Amino acid sequence: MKALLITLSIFSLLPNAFAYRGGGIRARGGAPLNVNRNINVTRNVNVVGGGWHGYYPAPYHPVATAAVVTGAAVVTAAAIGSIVHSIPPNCINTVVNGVTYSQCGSTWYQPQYVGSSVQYVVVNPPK
Amino acid sequence: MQTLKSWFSIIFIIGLIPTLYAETNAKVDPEVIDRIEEMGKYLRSLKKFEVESNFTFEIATEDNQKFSYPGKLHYKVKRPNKLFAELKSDHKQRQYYYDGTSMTIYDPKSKFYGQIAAPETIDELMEEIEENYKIILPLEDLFDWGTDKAPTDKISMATYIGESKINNIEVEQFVIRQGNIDWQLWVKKGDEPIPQKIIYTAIDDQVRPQFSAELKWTLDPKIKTNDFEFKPPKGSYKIEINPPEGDAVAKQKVSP
Repeated sequence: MKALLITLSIFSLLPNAFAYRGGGIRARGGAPLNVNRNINVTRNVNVVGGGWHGYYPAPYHPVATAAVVTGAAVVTAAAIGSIVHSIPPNCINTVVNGVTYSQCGSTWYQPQYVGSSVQYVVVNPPK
Repeated sequence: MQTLKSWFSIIFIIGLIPTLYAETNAKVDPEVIDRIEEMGKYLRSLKKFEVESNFTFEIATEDNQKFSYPGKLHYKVKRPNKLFAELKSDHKQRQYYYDGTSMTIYDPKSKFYGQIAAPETIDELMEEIEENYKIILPLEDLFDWGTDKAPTDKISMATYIGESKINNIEVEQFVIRQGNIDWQLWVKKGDEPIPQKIIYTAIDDQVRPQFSAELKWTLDPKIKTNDFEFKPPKGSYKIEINPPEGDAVAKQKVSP
């Protein structure tokens, strides 16, 4: 049930549900990005506009190099150091030693901007 | 000997003709380039402005499907060192505040904000955040025109399309090609040559996704100093801004 809820919350961020599920959003030049993780990719559309800089989404794509965990995987195995682009809605933000954390049950994330995108890095609980 | 030399000259000149022809390529209408340079010069001359835009942004999928989403952009600018930008779309909401000393990026949805020390001018800021953080502000082109970031000699095609009206403003439409982007520009006629509409098309992509934006300008906006100052809203949290390159791993204190 918990897993289902989380999955839904991630999917609900998408516009037309799964029209492009399995397709994967490609970067400029056509290289597929994380075919099985396209939800993250979609949410991560980095920039709107900038013709002199090329057409976006592209060419700077954080997801391409980062370890991305899917929604379901977050529940079962939140590997320390892995990165997600969204977290469940019931998380609590706290500041410990001047650092902001999002606590979701027993899983702790450290949110950060990567470029202009918010990402969540799975971390050990702060002490 | 003299005859031979003449013949050589003639052959040389004939050989040169195709090259000359290619260089004075009819595909670039010099008048369009002039208008674009005027536009750039005018945009650069604006000491302050406000611009609001409705846009549509298309994304291509691996299966060559296209989908689009709409959004809004809002800029308030006071040169040389004050800027507010807001992006609102289905996918993303962001606010950018630049007050001359720092830049804040704020996501109203997650309520996270990040701050970095900023250089002294908008131009330097844009260069720095692109270089260091890969952050490019939406429609940043408006700041590039008229600078060496938007070199008109890189335009390989330029065509005058004709006159029309956008939101009751008389405009002229141009199409230009620069690298892998085709631009359509609708530029206001008269002594305020500002773009009223921009479409760009990625021509290196099979499905040719487009970004299309109409722009509403206020050239004498009411601007207050605190328009550019970020005050953390209740319930907001500060986080780090990191560049996307390399492994983005949070710095964490490891207990001994």
